[in-house]
Amino acid sequence: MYLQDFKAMLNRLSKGFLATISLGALLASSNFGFAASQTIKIAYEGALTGPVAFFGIPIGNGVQLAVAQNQEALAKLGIDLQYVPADDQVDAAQAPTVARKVIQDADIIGVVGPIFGSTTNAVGPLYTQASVPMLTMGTAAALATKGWTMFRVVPNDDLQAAAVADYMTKALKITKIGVIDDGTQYGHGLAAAVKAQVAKDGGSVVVEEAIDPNGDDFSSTVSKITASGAKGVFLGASVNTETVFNRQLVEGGYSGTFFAPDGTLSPDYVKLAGPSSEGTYFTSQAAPVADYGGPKDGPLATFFNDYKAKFSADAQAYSAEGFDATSMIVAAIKSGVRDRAGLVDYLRSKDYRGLTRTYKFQANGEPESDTSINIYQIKNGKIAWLGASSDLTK
Amino acid sequence: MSCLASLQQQFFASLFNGLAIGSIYALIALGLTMVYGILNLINFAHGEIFMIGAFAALGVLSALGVSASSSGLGITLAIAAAALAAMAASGAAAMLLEVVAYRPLRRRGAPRHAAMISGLGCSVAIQETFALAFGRGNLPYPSVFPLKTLLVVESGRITSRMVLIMICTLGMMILLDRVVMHTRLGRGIRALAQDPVAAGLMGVNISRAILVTFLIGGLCAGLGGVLYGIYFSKTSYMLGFIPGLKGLTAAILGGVGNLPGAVLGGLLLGLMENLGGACLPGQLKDVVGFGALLLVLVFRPQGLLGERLARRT
Repeated sequence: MYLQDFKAMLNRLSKGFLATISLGALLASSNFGFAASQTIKIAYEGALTGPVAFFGIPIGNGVQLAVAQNQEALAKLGIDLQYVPADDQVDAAQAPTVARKVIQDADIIGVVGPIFGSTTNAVGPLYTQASVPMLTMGTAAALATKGWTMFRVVPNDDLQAAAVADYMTKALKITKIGVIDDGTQYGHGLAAAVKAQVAKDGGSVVVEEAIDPNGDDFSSTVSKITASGAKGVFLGASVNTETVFNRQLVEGGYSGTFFAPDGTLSPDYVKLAGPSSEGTYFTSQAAPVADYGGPKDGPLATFFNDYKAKFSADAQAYSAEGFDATSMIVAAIKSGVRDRAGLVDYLRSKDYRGLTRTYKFQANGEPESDTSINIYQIKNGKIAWLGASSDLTK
Repeated sequence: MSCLASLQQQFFASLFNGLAIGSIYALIALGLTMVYGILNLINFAHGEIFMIGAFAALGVLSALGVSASSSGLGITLAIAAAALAAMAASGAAAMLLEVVAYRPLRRRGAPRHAAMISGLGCSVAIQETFALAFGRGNLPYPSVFPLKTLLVVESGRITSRMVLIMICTLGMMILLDRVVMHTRLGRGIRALAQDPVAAGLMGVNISRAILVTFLIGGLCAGLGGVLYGIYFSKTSYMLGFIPGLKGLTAAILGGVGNLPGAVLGGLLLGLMENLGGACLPGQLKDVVGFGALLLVLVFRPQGLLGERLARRT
């Protein structure tokens, strides 16, 4: 104990000493008329390797692009803007280690990410304690109840689930619905919210079941669905389970509507689920990319072109949202914000018009406006954007 | 819906699904039970041998570039080639496993649990090697084998894939029976399973007999791997984990070391899982399978058809 107190005192002393020196240095440099140069870094925490890398890399690229496009402008303000990749593989066990590294780098002003609810949940307390703002794409609804320095750049899963239920009951007029999940935080959270909204919309849930995310044989669940006469099925799961299930469901003789959640929306889906994927619906908070029928001109189209030029690949789901989140941090820096606490204040009070939507956050970190969910469907082996759920379910 | 009503409604669907997946469990169980019968060793890397077969078949199918629109003869030949490649790859891998992971330990008189750990280590090493080479996601099988419904009985449908699985499994079992019961090689293996010391004294080449046992187990697992890949249209580096566990369960259920027992255990496990899954919530279907195993072990510890293990001195 004594030793620790002594160490802490020594630490305080040395910090004070350093501060005096740097203050002196600052004064000296300003005497000679140089603008003080400062390095500011923006970190991206998401999957750059591992099983979800297909989903995480395009978001990181969006962040990287926004940083690259603003470096010159900020250099004029004496700021050296840098991009820091923080690869957590979307593994909640690894995420805290990655987050601690980010926190230790005092030049990092804010984090874009984490990109999943599970990882956001794992690092939320750490970032909050260090007042690092995180602009997360994690969509689990409960994250907003914890008082973290979290700002969710996309609508949460309760809204996504409501869009699934509304679309099935109102647009497709389906009343008998099966709701399946893989028992994970993500899948189960979505499924529970879909069930609640189906009941609210006057439909009935005729099959509800959890399946094993590591299993391959879902035949007993498929038999239950076909026996129940369900005309619509939602499965909350990750892409591997979702595609295996999709295939078995269709091959098992089911001919109704099948809905998959945002985490599975990728061109790989068609490859993995094969011909059975034809007609599968998706909900996603992500704005439509060019390939899915996104805009052909305007700022979003320009972003798609810039992205393709830099990375020789097409932008994917959430690339533009990653770009927007980074651009909002850059806007804060341009307005004079220089540290983490300042950025938290800025995000809590200001709004920003991005490529995909207007970003303004409520006190709990949820987006305040533009909470539309996009609906997609696989047509002729390609993902096609149908429109925003609010327009489609009127 | 009550359990029984739902069971009644989905009885035939569960029956056919259960027999199909149970046949694959039986193919895996055969290799496990034979190795256990002669070495008293659970080969924990057996699931990975099965996975290697699924990958080899996928490699051949991709290389041949067949698709659903190819001619019937082309598809048949491609699937036969894929099955042969899968069995060859799994058979070779199983023999390599014996030579690398088990034989050196046996030669040095290491205790059996050391061999078990060695097998577990190989299992993880093979999984991770495949994860590095092919990624951690699923790899889809090309949709070559036409999915036709051949017969409908109430809720149940017998599809062409189920028939393929059952024919292949049956063929493999007849072949295995011929080899084990009616050849010199088979007699050697059976002698080894009864009493290794006496078998050695009678001139059985023990190392070779063990190697052949691993080879036969690998061939069965490889066939199981390609059938599993075609049935579920996928493979992945973790493909063998759960089927490996199920195969072990099937082997114990039927009586370790007992070949007909392994087949019976596999089919029963497949049926119980699917009938249980129809009756109870789907996530509990494994509980039904493993629960049945528990009951069998309590009342009949030697398994349904009885153990056949080597006499150890």
